[in-house]
This record gives sequence, C-alpha cells and structure tokens, in this order.
Amino acid sequence: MTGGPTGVDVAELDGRCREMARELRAVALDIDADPDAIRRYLHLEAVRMQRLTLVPERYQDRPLAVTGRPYLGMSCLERTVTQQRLAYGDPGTILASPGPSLSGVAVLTLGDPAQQDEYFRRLMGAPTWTFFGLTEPAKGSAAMELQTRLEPAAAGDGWLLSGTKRYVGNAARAQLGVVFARRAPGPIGVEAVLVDTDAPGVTARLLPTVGLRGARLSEITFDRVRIAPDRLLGRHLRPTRRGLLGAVQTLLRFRPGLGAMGLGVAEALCDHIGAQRPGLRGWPALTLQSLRERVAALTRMTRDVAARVDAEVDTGRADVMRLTARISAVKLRSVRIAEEASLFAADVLGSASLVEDPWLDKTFRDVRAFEFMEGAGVLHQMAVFSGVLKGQYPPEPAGRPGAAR
Amino acid sequence: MDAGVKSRAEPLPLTAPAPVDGRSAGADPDGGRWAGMVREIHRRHGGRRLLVSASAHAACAAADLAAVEVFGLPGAGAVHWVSRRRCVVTDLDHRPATRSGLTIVRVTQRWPSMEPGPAAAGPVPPLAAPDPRLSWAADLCRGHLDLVRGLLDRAVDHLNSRTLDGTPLLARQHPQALIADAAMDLAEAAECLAAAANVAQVADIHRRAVTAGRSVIRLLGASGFVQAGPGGDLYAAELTCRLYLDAGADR
Repeated sequence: MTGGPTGVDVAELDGRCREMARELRAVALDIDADPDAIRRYLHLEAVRMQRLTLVPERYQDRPLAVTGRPYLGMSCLERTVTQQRLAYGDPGTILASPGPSLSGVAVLTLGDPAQQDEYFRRLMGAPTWTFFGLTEPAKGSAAMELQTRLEPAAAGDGWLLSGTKRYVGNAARAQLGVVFARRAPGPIGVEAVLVDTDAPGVTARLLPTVGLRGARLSEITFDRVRIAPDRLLGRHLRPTRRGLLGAVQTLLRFRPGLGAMGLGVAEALCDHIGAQRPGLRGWPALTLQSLRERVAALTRMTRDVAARVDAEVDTGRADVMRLTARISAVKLRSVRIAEEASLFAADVLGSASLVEDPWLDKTFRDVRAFEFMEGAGVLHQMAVFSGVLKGQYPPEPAGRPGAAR
Repeated sequence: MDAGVKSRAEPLPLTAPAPVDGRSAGADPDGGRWAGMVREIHRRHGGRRLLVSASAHAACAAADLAAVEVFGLPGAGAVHWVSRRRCVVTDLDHRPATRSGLTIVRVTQRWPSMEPGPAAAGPVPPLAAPDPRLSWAADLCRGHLDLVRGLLDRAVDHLNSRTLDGTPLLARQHPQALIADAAMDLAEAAECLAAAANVAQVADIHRRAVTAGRSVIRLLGASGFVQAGPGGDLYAAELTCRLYLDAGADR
C-alpha cells in the first residue's frame, strides 16, 4: 500500500492500530459503564494517539512514530485507517478520549497562526477535551439553519454568544470548543468562535443515551457569553471563506473516518460471531461471509474517497464539495453495515445473547449512534440523490476511465 | 403447579428496581412507554405471571417484579409450567434494561428432579389461547408494532419541524418515501401477525418489526438515541421481544 500524504506507511499504520485495538477492547465495558473513567486510561497508546491526532508536529514533544515518521493524523486517509482499526477495539473509548478531534480540523482550517498557537499549546499542556458545537435542538446539523446568535457586545469590543447546541460529543466534559453561530442573515453570516466552557454564561449537561456512552453526548447552552475579537476563527479570511464553509468542509473531511468506525465495528462483530459459532453452516455462514466481503469492499471505497479528499487539500483548493455524494455514500453504507451486523449477531447468537454477552449488548446499542453522527442518514441519502442528478454518483467503475454515463 | 402457590410464595430475592435515570435530563414524555406496555401485557395474561423463554430468561416491568409468579419453558417444544417455588429467580442487574424501566431475570430450576412430568408440572393455568406461548408472543410483537407506529407519528412531526434550504424535510420526496415504506411495512406486519399460527411465524414478523423500527428511528436523528425517549423504548422492546421470540437460540 502506498504511503499516506505525510509519509506514514498506511499498511504499517493499519497494523499498528490493530495492535492498539486490543487494549481498547479490554476497557470497553468500563467506559460504557462510566465514560468519565477515561481518565484512568490516558496512558493507553490508542488514547494518546487520539490526543495527538491533528496536532502539528511543532507542538509535540514526543510524537507517535510509525516506521520512523511522526504520525500526525493530518490526512483524511490516515484518520480513516486509524478510526477503523481502533473502533474494532472500542469506538466509545476513542470518542471519550481527550484531543482536538473535529474542533481541531476547524481550527486548522480556519484559525490564524495566533489562534492555532493558543489552541494547540493548551491541548498539549494537559489532557484537554474539546467539542464541536454545530448541531442545535430544532435544526440538527444543518449549518444554514442554525439559530445560535453572535451579537455585537455593547462596548463594541467583541461579541455576545447566545443559544443552545444539543447532541454535541463531550461538551459537558470539555474545556474548550468551537461553536458555530449566526452573526447576520445568509450563508456568509455564520461564524465559528472558540469558547471556553468555564466562561460565565456557559452551562452544559450530559444526555443519557441508549449506547455509545463514551461519546458523552451533551447539551450546552450559551447565555450572552462574551467572545473576544481574537476568538473569531478565520478573522484573517474573507467571510466567504470562513464560518459556514469551515463547518461544511470540516464535516466532509471527518465523515470518511466516522464511516470507517462503523466498518471497524462491523468487522469486530463478524469476528465475534466467528469465534462464538466456529461451526456455523447454512444461511448464517453464507450471510457472515457476505458481510465480511462487503466490509472489505467498503473499506477499499472509504479509503479511496479519503485519498481523494487529501488530493483536493494538496491542490490548495481544499474543495471537497464535489466529493459530497461519494463521502455521504461511504459514510452511510458503512454505518448501516455495522447496524446490520449487530442485528445478525443477535439473531445468530441467540435470544439471550444480549443479556449474557455484555460486549454484544454494548455493541448492539452503540452502532445506532453512527447513523446520525456527522449528519443524519436521510440527509446523506439526499446528498447521494443530488450526486446522481449531477452525474457525480455512482462513480465510474474502476478500469473504465472516461466511460460515458 | 401447586394450587395456591401465589399466596404462599415467599418474596423473590431481587433487588429493588433502580430509578430510571435520564428523567430529569432530556426527559421525554414518551420515555418508559415500553415498560408500561409490558406491564399491561402481563396483566392481560392472567396477572403477575412471567413466562420464561426457552433460554430461561425473562423481562418484565420493574415495578411488578416483586409480585410476579414464574412459569417456565425449560425447553423448546412442549410447554412446561414450573412453580416459582421450584425455581431460583436472579436479577441480572442488566443496566441498559433497567434504565428503560425493565428488569431482566434468569430463572433456573432449584432441584435437578425438575424434569417435565407429573411431579414437576402442574395444571396449565387458565389462559385465553390454546397455546399460551403463541398468545404471549403475539401480544409482545403487537406491542412492538404499536411502539413503532407511535414512532412513525413522531417522525412525521419531527420531519415537519426540520427545514433544509427553507423547506420542511417532510415536504421532500425522499423522506416521504421513507415514511411510506415504513408505514407499509407496519401494515403488512400487522396483517401477518393477525394470521400467525405459531411462534416461529411471530418471530419472523418480529424481525420485520425490528427492521421497520430501525428505519423509523433513523428519521428522528440524534433525538432517537436519547435514553429517556423513543430510542430507549425501542431498545427495551427489541431486547424483550428477542428474549421471548427470537428463534436464533434454538436454531
């Protein structure tokens, strides 16, 4: 396999993460019972990897090395590989880990040098949890629809942030994050700001969920929270290149990784079934084989899309919009196969398996979350439909370059 | 089963039901609905009785647990009614179910002599249907379908309140098609259930009900994943019905 954009060997990274997944599996049930227990597992290599992913090398004293090169997770392909393999161990522990995550992409995409410097120095100073505040109670993750407001402060010095974000991972445990808010009507009226959760006017609470408790979905409310002028991300950019565009591009660059998590869990479920029922025959055996083949195919497709996202970034245009349909398709199909595998596992392993097999029960509950994370399934279906109309989807079959649609 | 067992029964060695968490955070008026439905199904089947699945597990609404009387189905095939006095009922402390207001118990026979036969099996309690397993299974499956039907109504409201590019999602053809598909799945499943002649058929219908439920809950986005709401109920319903209906263990 070819090397990633930063030179890390992808095959080596893949194998390394498979090893790390074992330690995640060992703590998975602990994190499900109490996601705050993540503080006991900060020493795990996989957790450390999450903490360092997306942190530029100049801020890292001791980067993770893969075949002698520092792993920074800057490329979509690298993150797709790591998220898939680590999710095989436990997706909840990945999501409960400290680190930049989605907010880091936003800061890297939109932040000026001073903003990036402050953000990453802080994250490297101590284990720090972050959040990405986009989704709202009545509007979901539709960035154009958001209602959180950014109003000029009375003194004319900065802004006042008001509104509520819901279903935001880690917000109730985070120290800082990125919040998208509307400064003015229209698509260029959306801004992204850095917010400290200990600022006056910020309140947050955990939302108990059916599964994937490590994600610590939260509701966070801002009541006239003061935002200093230097906390506006992308202040050095034209309004058309920041705010909404930053939200959309951040999500697009993260979605293949989220889909890959679904693939990792689907593979884990297949292996679990194989281990529990080694003598499987008949239609269950055929179904299991079919699931494995589809997971392998989706893995190839997801990594191909991720590499294309990276190629766009490398051109300097960072225009991943034209890949929207393909990104949505691999994300949706990958998370759906995880759910399908969980239902199949519960069928094959028997009526009491959800009661007697805690890992299966946890995974059975977890996989439903992937559906709405990084955009609800129905929106992805519409994105794929739009791609069909534009002739962007389905992609040309391999080996038929230039074939007419 | 010995006559009068219910009145002589000693208290079951079970812990008190844990409070349903999440009621204060993200509370949902529809949350915990499944536990109420299970309680009602128990009532309909002769009161506080607990039928045990072939794998000797059972689910019931937590509030009723201390008073239930256990009947067992130790193996696939013939119905075996086992006195609670001859069984040990253990609360499995299954937290995800507890959060939905249910308790999952394991039922084991107290004595090895508990083989089917006159000494162990008492008179079949008076239940309405000729095969109590079928009646019980059908009621559980019907409950699941009712739950999904409620979710469908909720999804319609949800999509009507969400806009994309200024248009309610419900006004778009794709969500409309998803709603229609789910509604047709439910109607077809209900029709099949009405004609089901055995538990295996009910189990097959239940699998389709699960698929329909998953299709509908997706339409609710993240709000369908909050414990104290429809997502928690759907999980609890799937868990309960799998214990009783899923033929997987017997394949």
